[in-house]
Amino acid sequence: MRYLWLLIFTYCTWAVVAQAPADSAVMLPATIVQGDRYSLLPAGARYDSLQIDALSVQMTDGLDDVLADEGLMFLRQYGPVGLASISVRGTSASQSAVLWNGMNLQSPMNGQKDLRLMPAFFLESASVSYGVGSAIAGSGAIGSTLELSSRPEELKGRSMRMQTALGSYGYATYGMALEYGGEKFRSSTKLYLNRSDNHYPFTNTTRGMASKDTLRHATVSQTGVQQHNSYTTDVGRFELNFMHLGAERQLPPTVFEASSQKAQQDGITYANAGWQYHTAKNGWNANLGWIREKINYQDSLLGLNAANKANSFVFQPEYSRSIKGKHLLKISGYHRTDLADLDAVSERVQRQESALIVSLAMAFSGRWLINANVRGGYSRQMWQPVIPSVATSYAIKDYLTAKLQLARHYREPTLNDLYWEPGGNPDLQPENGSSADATLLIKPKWKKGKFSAALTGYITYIQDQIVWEPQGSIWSPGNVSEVFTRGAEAWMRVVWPVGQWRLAWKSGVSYTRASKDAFTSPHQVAQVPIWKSNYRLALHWRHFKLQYRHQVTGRRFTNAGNSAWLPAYNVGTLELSGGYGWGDLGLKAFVKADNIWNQNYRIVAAYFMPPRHYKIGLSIFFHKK
Amino acid sequence: MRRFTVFMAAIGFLLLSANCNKDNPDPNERAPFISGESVFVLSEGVFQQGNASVSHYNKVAREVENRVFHTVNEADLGDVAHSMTIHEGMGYIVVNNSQKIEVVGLDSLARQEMFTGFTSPRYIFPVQSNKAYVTDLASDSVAIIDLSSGQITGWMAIQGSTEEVDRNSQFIFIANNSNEYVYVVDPATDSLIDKVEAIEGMKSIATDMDGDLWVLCGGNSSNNIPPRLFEFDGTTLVQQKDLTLPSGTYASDLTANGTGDTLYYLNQGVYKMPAGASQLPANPLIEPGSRTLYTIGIDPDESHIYVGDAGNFSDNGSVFRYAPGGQLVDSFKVGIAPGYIQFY
Repeated sequence: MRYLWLLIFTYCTWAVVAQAPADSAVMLPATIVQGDRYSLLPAGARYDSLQIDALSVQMTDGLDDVLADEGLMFLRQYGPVGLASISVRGTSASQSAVLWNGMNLQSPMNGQKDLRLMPAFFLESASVSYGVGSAIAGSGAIGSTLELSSRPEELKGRSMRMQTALGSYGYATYGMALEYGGEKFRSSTKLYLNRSDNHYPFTNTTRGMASKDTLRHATVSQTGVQQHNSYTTDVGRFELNFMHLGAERQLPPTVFEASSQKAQQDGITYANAGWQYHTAKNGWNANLGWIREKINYQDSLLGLNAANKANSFVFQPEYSRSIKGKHLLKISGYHRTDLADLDAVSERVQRQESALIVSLAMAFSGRWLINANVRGGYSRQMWQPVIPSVATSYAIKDYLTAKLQLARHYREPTLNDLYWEPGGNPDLQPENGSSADATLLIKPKWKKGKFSAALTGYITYIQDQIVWEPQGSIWSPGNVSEVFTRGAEAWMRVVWPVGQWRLAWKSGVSYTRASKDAFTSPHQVAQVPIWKSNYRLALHWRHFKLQYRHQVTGRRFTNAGNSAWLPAYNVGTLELSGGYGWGDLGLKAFVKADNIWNQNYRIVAAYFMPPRHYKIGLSIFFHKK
Repeated sequence: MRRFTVFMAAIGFLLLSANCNKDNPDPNERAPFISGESVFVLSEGVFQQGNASVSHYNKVAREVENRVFHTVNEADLGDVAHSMTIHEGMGYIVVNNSQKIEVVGLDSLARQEMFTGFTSPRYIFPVQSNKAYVTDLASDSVAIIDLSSGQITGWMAIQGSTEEVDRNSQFIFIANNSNEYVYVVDPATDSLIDKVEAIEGMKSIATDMDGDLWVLCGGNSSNNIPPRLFEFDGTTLVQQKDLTLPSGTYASDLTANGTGDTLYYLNQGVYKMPAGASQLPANPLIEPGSRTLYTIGIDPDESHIYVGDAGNFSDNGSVFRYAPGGQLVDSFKVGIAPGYIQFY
């Protein structure tokens, strides 16, 4: 039956072609002129802006849940507690960059970023650009670049927000924000607490007896604090951003284990200081960042106790110049120092990376935008390959825009790859590859409602992929693998007003064929679903919204020979939200049911996900301009 | 619209029909595995993917069936199948990261029972009709288990990771991978009565036709410790031989043939030596080539050598069957990372 669902939804979406993000870059937008080089990300690329409304239901979720709801990326959630990372276009978690205020947050130790720990409440905006390439975003931006910002650009006046949500299986979250936005000075302080027990029932189908089980040893508690300050003077805007995230996690037994005494503590600090100054023709940016990660892992059953920590320092200066008011030249520098104390390594390990990036954005006749970038870098006492990318966007008609992008990619080995004892390989070369993608956007002007659609086709090739393999009794990484990925993505969005009602539909489907070592290999890379689709139907009436979301994820093979797999799954979410305001005071409430069809499903082999569960939330806000 | 409805109905019918087509026949309808002709190959699978499997190879018909446990029991075997022991008509499959032992009938691998309560089990070794020892990577002890009830009746405290178990007419020997000792156990009292000193890193032990104990310590290339092979007198436990393998290599899977007069081990290739030899063989009997040889099994009846090739540990592996002289007889595909071979 689940395959019927998949087929029907897939057919429906393809039948109407596709959906489009709202961007149609037919002229050089002001954000590109004034922003840092990451503002060039959407040019030519498929791009999704995520729904991070200040008072939306998602504000009580982690970023992983928001991404699962919004995009076509495959989110690998290791149960309700463990690592959550993204897989885009067949790539691994370490092959998608995660930027926060322009800083790449991928761990220098394992190359991944645990999105579960990032509360959506701390974000002002989030977007995903697909296959943009490393010329702009640096190492690891092969599948996608997830760009997060905690800068409250629109903030005006004083505001205070308090929110809470309670839910099934001991879920409770609390958030508070105090914000001020004046002509020159802006400040935002946010606090976040979250706790859940996750002692939910599931049917363990792996044992052949369909045994009823309950997840145990799965309590997680998270804390977070974030501070943003900016001050605008005659010599530019200065800003300071700080975020600290802490988590205590019991790691539950996998479906293959009888019990677990595993636990993990995370302490992550991000800080950056920035300066921006623009004149009519020239612009200067400088950004200084610090990332600190501390991860302690224990397994008292096995007598394991591992402590790992890393510090990264990033400096990114940039100069931009407007040419004839239509074109823009950006020259950016990049330096990053990573220092890590790995549990398995007796001495502190470090790596330095420096790069120079030249970007040119050109707009012609208000319809045609070209963006070209080239990056040259030096890391670990050797020159990195020159990484170019070129992207173009052309408005064929007022309602039709074509985008094309060619990019090279690279990914530096992680510090674990290089220095782990035993097995680390300091002679590893960076992974490198290239990709091409083409997108067609349709956005006709309707008298009444709105319609947009997009269709993208892409191909990606990665060589020298780093894989750990046994060398005698020791596992060691090598540049051994090639991955060929090709696919298509389609999106569609319709908004239709009917009197005081408004009906909104959004859907998307992706097809991903990823093969290893040969383009013609019949086998799909393990853990990569071939089909994935998302559907959202919302009914708006005044300040109320009733929304149903549905995700279909195709089967994922669990071995390279494709003889074993995890079955496809459907997950539906129903939510009702509404708000009311009295002058400066406002209130918003929601009730939400996740996994409404009560599917017993796994995203990864090791854990069953929660059955139907509920959340109820309340936000109170005060805002005075 | 009508065509669409008909199309979808047809697709739905086909899908539902396909779902009704079970490919899991009743174990009773299968031809039973034949004693004396059967070889079971355990494939570890990928850690935390739960895709361990058992293959059955009929050495007479030269036919292989993969994922037998899954097919027969409509259940996954678990995560990291490590070893299999046959005792009094039953098979005991130790699934390391699932912390369990599956007890199966040997004619079909139909599940009979499941033993649990272990931390990280490695080997089960029956010492009496109804009693077995279960070694463990992490529990600092060896479990004593009642085979009729599946209950753990006691523990023998041994610090570190215990690995292979073997016996001669007098003693039970338990290898310890964490220190330099092989522990000697009296099965009547389940007590440690002695220990034999070798070097760290032992996973593999065997006894020969004289009851002598052979201990293979794998070595550690990152610490510049070469592998070493020791022989101890089976009665006095006095060291007889200390043979050093080439530095920078790793050795494993010490195995005796059915008569106990010949020893085999892996050191990239397969090496073969008489139990009475005073020197190590200079060249392998079977060259590894581009393969990742990960386990060996010696057929106790005809001394054919079965070698598991784990490849890259993520694709399905292979097993190669050789005659005692090293001539290739057959090869067949199995699951991911074949790590143990059991003859029935």
